[in-house]
Order: sequence, then C-alpha cells, then structure tokens
Amino acid sequence: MTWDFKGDRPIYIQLMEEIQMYIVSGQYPAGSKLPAVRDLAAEASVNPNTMQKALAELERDGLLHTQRTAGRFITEDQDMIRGIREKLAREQVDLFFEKMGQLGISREETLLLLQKAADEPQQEKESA
Amino acid sequence: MEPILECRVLGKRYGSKQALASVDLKVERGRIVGLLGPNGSGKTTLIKLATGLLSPSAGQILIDGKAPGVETKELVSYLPDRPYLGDWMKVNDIIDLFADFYRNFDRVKALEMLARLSINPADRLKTMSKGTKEKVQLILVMSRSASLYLLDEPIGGVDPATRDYILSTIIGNYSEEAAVVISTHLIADVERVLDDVVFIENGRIALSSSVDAIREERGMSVDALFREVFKC
Amino acid sequence: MLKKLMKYELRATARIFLPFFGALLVLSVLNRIFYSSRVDRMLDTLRQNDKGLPIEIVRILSAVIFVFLICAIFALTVIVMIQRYYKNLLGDEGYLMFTLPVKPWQLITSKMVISGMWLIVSGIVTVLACLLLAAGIEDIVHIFMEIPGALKTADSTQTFHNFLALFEVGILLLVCLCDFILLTYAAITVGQLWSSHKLLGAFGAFLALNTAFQIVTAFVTWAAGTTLDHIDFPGRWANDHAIALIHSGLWVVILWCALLGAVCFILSNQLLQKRLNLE
Repeated sequence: MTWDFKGDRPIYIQLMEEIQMYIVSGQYPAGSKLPAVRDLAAEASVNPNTMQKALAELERDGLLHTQRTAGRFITEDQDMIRGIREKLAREQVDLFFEKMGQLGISREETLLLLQKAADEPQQEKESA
Repeated sequence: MEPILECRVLGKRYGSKQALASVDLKVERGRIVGLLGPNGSGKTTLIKLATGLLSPSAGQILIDGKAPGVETKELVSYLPDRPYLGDWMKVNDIIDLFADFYRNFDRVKALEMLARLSINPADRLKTMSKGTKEKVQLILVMSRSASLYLLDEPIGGVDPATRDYILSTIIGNYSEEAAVVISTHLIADVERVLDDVVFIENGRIALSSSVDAIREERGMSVDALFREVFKC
Repeated sequence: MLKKLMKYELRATARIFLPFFGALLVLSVLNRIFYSSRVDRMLDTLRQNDKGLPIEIVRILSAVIFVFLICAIFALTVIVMIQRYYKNLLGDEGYLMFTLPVKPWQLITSKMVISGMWLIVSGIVTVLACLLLAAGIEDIVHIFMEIPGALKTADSTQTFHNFLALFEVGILLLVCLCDFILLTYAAITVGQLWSSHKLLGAFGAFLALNTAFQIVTAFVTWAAGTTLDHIDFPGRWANDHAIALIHSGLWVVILWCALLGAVCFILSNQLLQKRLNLE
C-alpha cells in the first residue's frame, strides 16, 4: 500500500481522500480504531502534522471521532459511510462522462458502451 | 515560547563574498522545515551559523533565544554535509563519545537502529562504504532527543532505498517539542515530509511559506514552484 | 567535561605513540644483545672464516634504526601536536568537536595537556631506551636511587635549596613546554582567520608571535637591568643573598614564561569563541 500524491493540491486533502477510500471500501471497518497519527504518517511517509490536519478535517466532517483516552475511531454511522460512498461513486461517474465527452462521445453512446462492456466482462479484462 | 531558531538580519561574508544577507527567519517547535535552494545559495552557511561553527558578520542568530554556545549545543543535533567522524574509530567508540558528552543521547535507540540496518557496532568506520557511514552519522544524530535537528543534505548522494529509510527515520522521530531543518535541493523527495519551506537564493530568502499554502494558492507542488523560481 | 575530552584525546593519540615506544624499547634490547661480548666473540670466529658480514650488517642496521626511531619519535610528537589541533579542531573533525557542549578553553586545555604529556613521555622513553642499551635494569634503578644522594649534602639547608632548585627548574621546563605548545596553537588559530593559505598564515603567525615575544622579553630584560643598575645595593648584599637571588630569579623567569603562555592561550580562546570559521 503506497500513497501517491499529486502536485496540484494540498497533501492533507489527498490524505483525507485516501482515508475516506479506506473507510468506504471497508479496509478500515466502521466503528474500528484508527492507527495512531504517528504510525499513519509513517505508513504514508508524510509529516505527522499533515496527517494530523487531515484527520482533524475528517473529524470535523463527522467521519472520525476522538475518545479522550482511547484514541481515534471511525464512525459507526453506516448511513454516513454509505452517503460518502455514493458521493465518491458519483464523482467518478461525472469524471467518466467528462472524459468521454472530451472524446466526443455523447452520454447515450457512453451508456451503450458501458452496457456492452458489462455484458462481456471476461473479454474486456483480457484486452485491457 | 521562544522560537527554537530565529535569525535577525543575519549576514555572513567570506572575504569579499557575501554568502548570506539580511536573513530574517523564525522556526517554531514541532515543525519540519525544508531549506531549499540551488548549490552555493547559502543553505550550509545558514546551518553552520546555527551550530556556531561559523560566526555571523552581521545580525544575530538565536537558538531558543540564546546565541550559539555550550547551552545551545546541548539543544542542537547537527548532521554535517560531510563525514566528520575520525575514520579509525569503531561505531561503539563514537556511541560512547556521544553518550559521554550529550545528556540527551539514547544509546539503546542508536543500537536498535544500527541493528535494524545490520550495521555491526564493532566495525571501524574505515571499513564502511560511504552510504553506510552516512547512515551511521544519521543514526547518531537522530538518537539524541534534541530540540532542533539541523540536517544538511541528509539525502544527497545516497540511493533511493536509503533515502526512504532516512526520511522515514525523520518522520518516525517526530516530536512536538522539536523542530527539524532539512537542507536539500532534492525537493520532490522531501516535499511530503515538510511543513514549511524556505527558498534561499544568492544568500537571501526568496520565499518562506507552508507547503499547504503553496499548493492551495498556486495549485502546484513545491518542486514545480522551485523549478519556476530558480529557472536557469 | 575536560576530563572526558582528555580521555578521548589520550585514546586518539595513544594508538599512534604506543607502537613507536614499544618498537624503540624492543630495539634497544636487541641492540644490547647484538653488541654483547658474546656476539663479539662469535663475530671474531666468523671473521676468521670471512663469514662475519651478515652479522655486521644486522648490527649496523639495528643501530641506525634505533637512532632513526628516536628522531622519528620526536618529530612525531611535534607533528601529532600540530595535527591534533589543526585537523581535529579546525578540519572536518572540528564539526564534531565544536558541536559538543564544551567550551573552547576546555578543548585547548585537553589538547595541550595530552600533547605535553606525550612530549614528556617521549623524553622519558628515549632516556630509558638509551639506558637499556648501555646498562641493565638493576643499573638503571641504581642510577635513579643515586640522584637524591647527589643532591644531599651535610648541610641540611643547602640540601633543601638543592631540591628546591631542582623543583624550580622542573617547573620552568614544564612552563616552557606549555609555552611552545600554546604558541603553536595560537599561530594555527590565527592562521585559520585567512580563508585561504591557512597553513602559510599559521607559519607567518608563528614567526610573528615568536619575534614579538622575543622583542618584548629583550626589552623587559633591558628595562629591568637598567633599573637594577641604578639601585645602590650595599657592598656585600648580593653575596649574602645569593641563594635567595637564584630562587627569585628562577621564579621571575617562570612567571614571565607563564605570562607569555597565558597570552597565547587567551588569544586562541578568544578567536575560537568569537571568530570561529570552519569552512
């Protein structure tokens, strides 16, 4: 698991996105304890202050919460996690449509292409 | 609380050459600061002024509010840009020396780090490769619980794996009580480790900002900005 | 801290000197064997058969090496004295020494004490080696046992003065030794003020400081002499107080040398504290 960062946005925002991904995908299960800032920072090889900032932002969003002595936990609110999953999925879909638009492919055509690809998943994977 | 490192209109000249001019700078505890600039821009000079190896020609440099002296040397852990340990010494000898002189040196930590890199403390420095020597120096410097770490080109001239090791050591050693100043021209490698950056150009501070601010306001990485500022 | 500094200084230098001392002592014993009467007799027999050459060569060679080694040891003590200051403090190793939480005067003192010690030890080892060459161990012990006897006289006051003078001369030698070391250190420290030609600067500073001290000493001696000339001592005064004059004369010289050493020490200390520039 390596963490890559793009140049155009602050690293803490990219860290927030990564952690959201881990939560949504279930790698960090709902209600579970998050590793310590220091360990997370070491894993992502980023400055602990940056990691702290990312976690603080996620906490403000309600995705994480701190228990005074026990540490930081992931929310148990499944609806919230589902909501974020939907939001992230929506972002990917929008991005996909945008890219297809750049290729000159309309939304309808895109949907047809998607349907076709979904029908023959094996072949798609091989040719990819 | 006093900033751990403060420069007030600091200047340094070597003969007729002005190496640093009117540098004003504050470094707070708990920050990891990148001192970035091309070769010969004055990074090493600034660090050596902070260690007391050079005397300022103008202005002041203060460590925890004090001019460099015995007290500040206890607070500062310094990694020079060159090998500075007697070649004939064994790693064990040097560990003894550090433990003897620095109250904040953690012998156990040093031995653990050496063991993790499978460096035998009974070996003489003479028999080691350049990269191994650099690792030994870094381990000694990072095994002190200092208030200010001054690392002059810690990742210059080492292979990428060692570079990763060095950076993770710096991160793993992070403390809110201590500041770390890293001088380098290899920005892409250290960018994600830094809180703040200071660009030095011809002995003057060209830019001083947080990494987040640069990315937020300019929409580019520090590395990209550096290439723009120091375009040849 | 000073004790720790001296410990590391001793460790760093002992590894250079001890092999030389060992070699010299071994050689003196070897020479003693080669030049013993038994070997002489053996050589006589061999010479008659024209087979003496190898042994003669070995004899000459071991004698030459012995003398050469003595010269080498004295050159070495001076070279190490300079090198431990120039390289260990003002070279790359200075990056460590000057970032240790110690004061410059502690660095200078630790170097001076250990260098002085090696100069003295070199002298002792050389004397010992020469004595070993000429005499056996019992003879050497005997020689040293005789020294107090030579100073003792029937008159206990005279004996006291003899020992006191010996003590004073010892102190004077020690102070002169420190002077020499401190003058060298001061010259090297002044030399590093130049950003290039540091060694040339040091050499120039050595000559300049040395000359300045000689001029000042000559002037002070002349001034003191003239002043004393004008004082009208009673006729037999000097004879009556001859012994006291010798002692006080020695002490004046000791103090004067100590003063010059102190000047060098303070100069080096101030420069290292305020004008250090390790490039």
